[in-house]
Amino acid sequence: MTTIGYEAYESAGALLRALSAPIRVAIVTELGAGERCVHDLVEKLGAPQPLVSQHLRVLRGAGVVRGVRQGREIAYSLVDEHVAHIVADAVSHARESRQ
Amino acid sequence: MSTVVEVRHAAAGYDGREVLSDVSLSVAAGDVVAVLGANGSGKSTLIRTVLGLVPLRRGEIELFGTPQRRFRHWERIGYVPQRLGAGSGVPATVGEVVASGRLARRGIFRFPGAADKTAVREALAGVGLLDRIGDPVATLSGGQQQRTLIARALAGKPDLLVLDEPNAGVDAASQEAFAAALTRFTAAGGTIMLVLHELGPLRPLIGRGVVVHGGRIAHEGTPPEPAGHHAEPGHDHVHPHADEVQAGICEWAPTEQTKAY
Repeated sequence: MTTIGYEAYESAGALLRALSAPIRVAIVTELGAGERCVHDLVEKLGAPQPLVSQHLRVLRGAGVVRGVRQGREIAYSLVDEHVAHIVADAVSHARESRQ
Repeated sequence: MSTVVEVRHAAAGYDGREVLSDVSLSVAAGDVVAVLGANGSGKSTLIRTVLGLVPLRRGEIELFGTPQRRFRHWERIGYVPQRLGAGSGVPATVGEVVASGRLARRGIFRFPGAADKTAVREALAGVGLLDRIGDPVATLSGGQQQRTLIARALAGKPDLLVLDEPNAGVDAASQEAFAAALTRFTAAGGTIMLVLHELGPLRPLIGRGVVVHGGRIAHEGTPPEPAGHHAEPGHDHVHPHADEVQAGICEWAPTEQTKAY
């Protein structure tokens, strides 16, 4: 295996680690429907804001989400749609295998 | 006595670096547990792993008797991360920031009610900042901002409060004020897990200290006496993470739904 090939797997591993917590899967699913501010996610997920912010930092660090300041708030969105598909597939796969 | 946090043989770390190798810890309802240790020992990593912010590599974690992976009642946990710096310039008031602590409990499409207003005012009174409710957060001292963040966590009426170095860079008056607030929280049955560099005014409150060293709990028992330069009053305890975005107190910004006072 070439070094370049292995590096690609490492990045994929980092991406999957970033997606490894259920609450982050929920955040990515929510962002898959469109841009959200932190308070939107807090209300939707029922988790306290500092915790949601810290999870967003993990996702931002992995290059999954980006935040753009919009007036008084930071609007978060997915960096690309692929991640939404990966998560949606994982969620539906898990549902199927449970049946 | 029910168990609030149960950690069994936990290993955790960041890419390629294992910070915790075998940590076991049990926090019962009503406990006040201080996580102590040197810089880089993994104190913060331990509480971040408990909260699911750092992935667990081995071992098990339960929150309120539920495996962390299946835990959903995050509104039962109040969390104050390590302070990242001053406000981001977002012109939120103290009351608005504290009111945002009610959001996780309220859910969507519910506008603030009397219970929210009461919780916000009680939480602010508890940290001695009720008179600043309408002031912009940016006009507060660092210690007062930290008190605001603790009030925000308390306003959510959590059963467990997780604090990461709440005393770092905070003036003595503020330390006393939130020591009092935390004392009331535990008197009402609350459970606290906090990372500390020094015990300071919180010392009478701490029931148990756990010292993280070498990826394990090296010592567990009544809090050790302070020693060395960390115990000196002039020591600066702020250890910000260099790579962090300085979101500060106001990454969240208020909306009409959060004007709950």
